[in-house]
Amino acid sequence: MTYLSHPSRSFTSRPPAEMVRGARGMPLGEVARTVAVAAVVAVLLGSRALLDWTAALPVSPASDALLSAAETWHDLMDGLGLSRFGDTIRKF
Amino acid sequence: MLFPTLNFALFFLVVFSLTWALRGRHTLRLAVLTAASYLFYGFWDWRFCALLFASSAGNWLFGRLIFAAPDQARRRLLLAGALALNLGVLAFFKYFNFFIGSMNDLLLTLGIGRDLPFLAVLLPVGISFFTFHGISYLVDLYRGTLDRPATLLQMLLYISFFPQLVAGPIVRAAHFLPQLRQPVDPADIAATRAFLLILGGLFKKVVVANQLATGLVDPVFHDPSAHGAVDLLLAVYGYAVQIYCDFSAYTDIAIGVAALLGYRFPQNFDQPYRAAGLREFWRRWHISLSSWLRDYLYIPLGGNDGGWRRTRNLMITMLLGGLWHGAAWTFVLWGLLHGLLLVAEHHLVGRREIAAGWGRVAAVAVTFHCVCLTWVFFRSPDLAHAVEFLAGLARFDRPSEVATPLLLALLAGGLAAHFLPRDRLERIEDWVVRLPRTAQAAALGAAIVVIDRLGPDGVAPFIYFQF
Repeated sequence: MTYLSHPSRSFTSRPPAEMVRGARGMPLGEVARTVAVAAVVAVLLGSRALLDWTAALPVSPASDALLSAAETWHDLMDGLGLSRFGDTIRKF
Repeated sequence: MLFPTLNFALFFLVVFSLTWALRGRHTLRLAVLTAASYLFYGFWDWRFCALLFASSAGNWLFGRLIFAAPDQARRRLLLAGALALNLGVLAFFKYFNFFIGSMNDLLLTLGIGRDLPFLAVLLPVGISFFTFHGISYLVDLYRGTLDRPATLLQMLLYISFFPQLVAGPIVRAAHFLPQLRQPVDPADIAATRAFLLILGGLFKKVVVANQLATGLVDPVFHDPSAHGAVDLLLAVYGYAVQIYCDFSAYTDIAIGVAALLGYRFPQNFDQPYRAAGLREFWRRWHISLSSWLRDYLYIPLGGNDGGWRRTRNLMITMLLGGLWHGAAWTFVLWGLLHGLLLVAEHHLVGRREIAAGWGRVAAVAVTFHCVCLTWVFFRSPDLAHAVEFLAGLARFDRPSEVATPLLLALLAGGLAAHFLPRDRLERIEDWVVRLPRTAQAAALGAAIVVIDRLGPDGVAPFIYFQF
């Protein structure tokens, strides 16, 4: 069986193409700051998604508390007009 | 745990923070990544974790034995045994009931009529992928492409690393294990590219693939007899775009997530529907699988060794490639059709390059429609459904019942994206990095909310999870 006797090495030793090759590097501190700011923006604008997620959690005292907090948060964002961002996109 | 969910976002935030906090403690970092990967896998069914561990530990042990074997004959024997074990486990979990069902059908046809018993076997998620990872490790070690065996911890992480565990891309041992030997560099993370890949992947999955699936593909494929030729044609085109967006979304997100943790994965898709031939299509579609099959099956079988042997090797490779996708005759036929088309292309086109211009446009259109024809078998639940679907393509008397402007726009956009410039990602990255960092971050957060709101309610599992 050729497979087990003298296998070709030419293909497997060639490195594959990568989608991140040549990409610009970013130091860890900057990455962490980007992730943190993105998370804050997502929490501010996506209060409806947070509410949907907590409502779908299995029922438990912890999930009840989370749901209550998510409702309060969503009401707050609604009052500030921030939840309209997501609602408008949904209507589209 | 699916990528486009808040569960995964929270899981990833914890893993990202913890593993980068441990960047100075390399072994502990690998251990935490391994534990996180097992936790990720355990979300489907914790019992599968035992199989994952057994597969990794078994391959690790065989790898050490192969490396330490004093002569070629013993190395060959050990490799053959290890491959048989890997394929045996895959065959049992994935193909046992398919084999029994096919045998029962055959015995009934022959009038013998014995009912062979089925077993209640659960199909572990991603078994085809982690089996191929294990084989890649053993063969790379045997061939010398990998210069030394992995430690047990490296092996456990290589097989289980959560971004690629359940649907690839198939990462070669010789490509990934050297990355696990080096500490990651916190000063050079390909973060902007990773965020773009993740956002693009989320958009393709949540907006394009899910909308096309729920609005067009699923209703038509569910009952092809209720639809006319226009809807059936739209559903095939829709599925071509859906499966591309679904699968390439998964691998783009996987590549992005791995990059944020400091690791590099291979490219898996390269605008496949712009291919001007089936050979080119397979160099652009599921690249990590097609190159795996080429290097670990087609070439060892003899590859392009001239004449009928090439035909035989192509047919074996494509049939097994089809069967790899699923235990059903539809996948076998899908592989068979691709094999036949590749053989026909070899005979008709040979080594000639297809020139630019109208000839290439025609070749791209023909290739796309050949691929679409094979998707009918890939998507249909059984052969009868597929035949019914193809027969319906002659029913021109019914108007479309499913076409909407949104679905048509998604369909057209999904196809048009294949003809964007090759360096589109680099161009977008160049534009993004010119923005202030805080604006980039805010845009990332807002884009995630936009994508979530644009998609239908709920997230369907990725198509390739079933393989």
